[in-house]
Amino acid sequence: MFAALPEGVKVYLRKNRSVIVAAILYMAIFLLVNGISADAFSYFNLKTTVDTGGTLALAAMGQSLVILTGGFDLSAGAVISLVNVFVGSMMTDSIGNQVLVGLLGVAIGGAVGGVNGFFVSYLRMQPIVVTLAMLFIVQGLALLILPTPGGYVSQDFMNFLSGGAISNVLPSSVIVMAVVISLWLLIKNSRFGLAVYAVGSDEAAAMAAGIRARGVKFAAYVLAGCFYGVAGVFLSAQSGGSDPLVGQPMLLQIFAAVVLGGTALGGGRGGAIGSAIGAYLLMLFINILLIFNLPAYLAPIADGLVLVLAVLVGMIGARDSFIRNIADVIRRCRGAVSSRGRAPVAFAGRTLRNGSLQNAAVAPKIRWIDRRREDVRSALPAYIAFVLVVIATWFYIGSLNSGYIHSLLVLSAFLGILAFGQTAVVLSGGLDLSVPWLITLAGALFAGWAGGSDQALVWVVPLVLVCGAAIGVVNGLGIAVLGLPPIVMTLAANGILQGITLFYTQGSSTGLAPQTASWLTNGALFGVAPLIWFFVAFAVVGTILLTSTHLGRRIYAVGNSPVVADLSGINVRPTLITVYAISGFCAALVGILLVGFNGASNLGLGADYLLPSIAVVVAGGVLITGGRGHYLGVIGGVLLLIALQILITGTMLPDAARSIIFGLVLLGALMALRQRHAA
Amino acid sequence: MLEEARALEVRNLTKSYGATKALAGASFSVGTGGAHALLGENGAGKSTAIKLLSGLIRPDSGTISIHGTEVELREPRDAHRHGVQTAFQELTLAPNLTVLENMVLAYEPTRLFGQVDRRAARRTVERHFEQLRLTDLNLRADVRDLSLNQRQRIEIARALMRNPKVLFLDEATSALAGRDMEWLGEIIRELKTRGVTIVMITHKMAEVRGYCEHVTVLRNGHDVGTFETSAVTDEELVEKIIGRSLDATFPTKLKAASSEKPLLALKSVTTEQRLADCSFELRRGEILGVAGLQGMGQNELFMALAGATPIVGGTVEVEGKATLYASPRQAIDLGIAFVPEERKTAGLFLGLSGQDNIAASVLKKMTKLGFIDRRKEAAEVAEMMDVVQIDKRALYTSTGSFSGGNQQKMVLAKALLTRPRILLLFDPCRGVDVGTKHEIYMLMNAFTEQGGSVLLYSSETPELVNLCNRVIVLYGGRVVEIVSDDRGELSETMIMRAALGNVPHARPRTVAEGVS
Repeated sequence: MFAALPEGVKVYLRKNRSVIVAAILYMAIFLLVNGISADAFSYFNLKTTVDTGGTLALAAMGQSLVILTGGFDLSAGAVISLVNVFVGSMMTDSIGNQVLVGLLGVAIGGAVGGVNGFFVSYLRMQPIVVTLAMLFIVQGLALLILPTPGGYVSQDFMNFLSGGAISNVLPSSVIVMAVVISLWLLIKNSRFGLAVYAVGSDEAAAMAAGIRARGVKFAAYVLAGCFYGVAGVFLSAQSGGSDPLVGQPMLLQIFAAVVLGGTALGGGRGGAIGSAIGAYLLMLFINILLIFNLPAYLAPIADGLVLVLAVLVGMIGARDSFIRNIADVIRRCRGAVSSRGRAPVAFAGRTLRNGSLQNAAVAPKIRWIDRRREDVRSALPAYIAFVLVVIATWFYIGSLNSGYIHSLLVLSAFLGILAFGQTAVVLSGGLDLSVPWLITLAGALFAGWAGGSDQALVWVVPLVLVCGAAIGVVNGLGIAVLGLPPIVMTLAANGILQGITLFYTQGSSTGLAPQTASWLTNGALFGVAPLIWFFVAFAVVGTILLTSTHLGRRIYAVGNSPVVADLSGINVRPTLITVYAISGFCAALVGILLVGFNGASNLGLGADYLLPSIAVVVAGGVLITGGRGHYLGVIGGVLLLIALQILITGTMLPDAARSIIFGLVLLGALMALRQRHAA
Repeated sequence: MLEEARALEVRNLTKSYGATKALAGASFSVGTGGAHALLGENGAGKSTAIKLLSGLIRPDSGTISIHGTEVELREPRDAHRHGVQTAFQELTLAPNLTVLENMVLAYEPTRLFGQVDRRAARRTVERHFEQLRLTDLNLRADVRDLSLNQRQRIEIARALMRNPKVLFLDEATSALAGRDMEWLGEIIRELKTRGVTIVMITHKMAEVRGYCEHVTVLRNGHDVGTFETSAVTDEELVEKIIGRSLDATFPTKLKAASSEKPLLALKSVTTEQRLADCSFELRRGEILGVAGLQGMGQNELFMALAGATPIVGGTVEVEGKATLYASPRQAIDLGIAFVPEERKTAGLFLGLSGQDNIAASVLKKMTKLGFIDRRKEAAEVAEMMDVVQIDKRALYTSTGSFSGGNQQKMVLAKALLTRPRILLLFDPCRGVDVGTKHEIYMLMNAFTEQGGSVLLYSSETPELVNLCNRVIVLYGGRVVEIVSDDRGELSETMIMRAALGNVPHARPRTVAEGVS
């Protein structure tokens, strides 16, 4: 078909295939939606289109730079919020101030990127966890500066970036996008640009070829931060005000846009222009929802589905595509069916040495400390820090009454139960980002179905728990069978669950907790809340499950190395699915308990639980890449975080400080553990 | 001659990875100009030495001098600055970049605003390829779409384009054959006339004889000595490489029971890549060797038999019954245990204890109502540890802190604990010390003596000759020759000739075809 084209053009088409497909798709849908009316290409329509998608496009361009190096940046949305808040708080009407504020906004983005880049490339820490911690730190900073929407952006500033450059002919936003895209082209065609692609496609190879891979990765994070900064400044000019949470819903969209634009997760392939097109394509999808008068809460569902589908489509042809994965599952099932009923073969030759029969060996005695030395060493810091925080609280408050201990234990129970699921997932080498909205959905379902009736508990509680586990199974299927990266699957699931929750509750918090549910958390049994007894039992069962059962062994094995596990005859896929089911179960349980605790369900039920659930796992000594750690250590992490939380509440520090401190704990724990493993 | 600065001088170089000493104080020097061979067994420290001299890793102690000046190589660029270039065995090309981009990578010509001057780059690379007579390479092609031998030649060409004074060829010939070898030979001759120093790492004695004036032998991280190639015989070199003469290493061969029906029979087995129409039989009590050059399908054969790689055509029969097993679990349940090539990435959970590792394949047997029976587990693992002779400390210590030999024994223990009747051993003696090798040989013998069968691939042909009852030779994914010891025809030359494709009825499929 392209035979007549010169070779250079053919190569260009091949290399940019996914970008071109995205662009054509965009044009097709655009025309379909707008019809061939004259209005479709009017100045007004052009301006609205470029304006509304602009922030997302700029942020997605930054994100794609990080993803090209093989990284991941979860802090993007929060950086936009921070810059937006900064611009809105600092701006005056003087031109000098406006220029300065705009540039500083970009610089703030770059600075956050610098912190990310430093931890990721020079300290070699996991990008996902580093940027997750930064997400909460930066979000906290934004809320510190401006707790509620407000701020001031001058009219001149708005006109300059978001008005009409040439009135009724050329919107300013088009110029902004053109400048940024030219900048990207300059970056892409520089030595640094080529190095980014080389590092993302094979870091070891790039280093051996003479590229300073660490510097390249660091610079990519800084530049990405600058892009988010530009996005934040642009957003401020467009909205004319500040909102500390404006970036929150953008995170999922950013990843969806990047993948939609043809940039491969894992690095080395794609580009920022594709991401910009992907962003506009995504906005178009959402516009369609509006046009058909569909409720707005479907947007996160659309974002999530688009992300998953785009990743799946991008996989086609790759070595680990979902098609091959499914074929493998089918083949294995067929093999299992065909060998069913056949007894496993045990070869007679029991002894090999000398051919003579030996006495059956006696199990050698191993001291507990020898077996558990590593676990104890990695869990100890959490407990020591916990004791220090308690002592600090003691000094601050004066005395530690029974009320303190009681609330410490009750609050720890919620987080501890949730953390068990996350521990299992992290031990298996994954991450579950879907817990916040799963908790909220479970809470809403529980309150809605039970309707305050105690009799209904008998069937409602099991049903909600089964729902939680089933959602976990869906996560697990996406990861284990379709081969989606855990972060993509659970991030998308979180968005989809958000949409479902909003659909179910119609956006309002309804439903009261049954008496018994409230008694569990707020009543008393042998002097303390029944929940505490329940949690003690839960911890015992959880510990045994992970250390002494067949499933526990499989989880550790898979987390250590799925390849070795598979070759050793451990069925990796069922193990992963089970692990995510456990996490879903735990999240649902926490949702139920929180409804009981609060007396009613609300839409913010799970919002504060994502970072803590991961922070305690890391602080408790679980290796973030999986395969090593102990649930009892995680409970130490839980106690530490809850003690910190109570201390913060006791002081006059604003609420936002909590997420900053939790983020710092996560980073600190990562660093402390990293050093120990290096030594 | 003494006054002239040596191109390369290495003093007391050491480098350890955990408990393993990759280099334990090696010293050697290479004169300026000419070609120099670096020989040694797998695990002798050659690759570590090259990595150190290329600036990829930094030594624990010791010094490196290049052309008389002591240098500190912190990163590959430092080595480049001193005129040292390396063509690596594990290729260092970025798969998603084009040939052109890879050729100029890290040293691209630039113009205004630091923009890469693609036109200048293209001119330079085109001229360079012309000089090297590399005519079959499209500069615009993505490297990941190229065949192994094309990539290997690009790797060499890139090192050459950077005008080295010292050039390392790290098994750069492993993917080259026939015409490409002649091509490399001509280049080496040209480089010599220009006074460039070449250091070759190779396993092929013919290359040492053909190109190199001097040879340095490494063993167990130490230098054994440097010799003039013309002054040593092949036998002497081999003895220096393995530390003793070959004959002492191997146990006496057992006669395979002449059995009625084969334990395992493959009929036209085909995988998606490389293995095509492969048929042979494995008899009871037999050690069947598998020989072949790199990439001839041996890896796919073992992975397929272990249930890890899908079989897309043909049948596998176990004890005369056709089977459809498609996972390692199902293979293990059929009595087939696999010791994979890479013990660190495929054989062991490096972060888990020896007990967790060795019991990993038989967890189900140790489980009652979902709970692990620890006493039973520890007893059985300990018993198997006795068999393969590992310290009991390995029960609770993570396997990552053990030496290569002990790690390999643990992989074997894991396989043996499944009580298999068929053992698939893929290069089990690669990079392990001589003592351990001997123990592994003895274990194989004991295993077959009791009626088990072994399928053994080895990259060292002497192992095949001295251990196997029969050897099948793979070429282009199919069995082209079966050499039997009974008929007394089992010899290294016999195997090598078949492996190189010099068999009348062989219809070779090239490596390139297998890839693209």
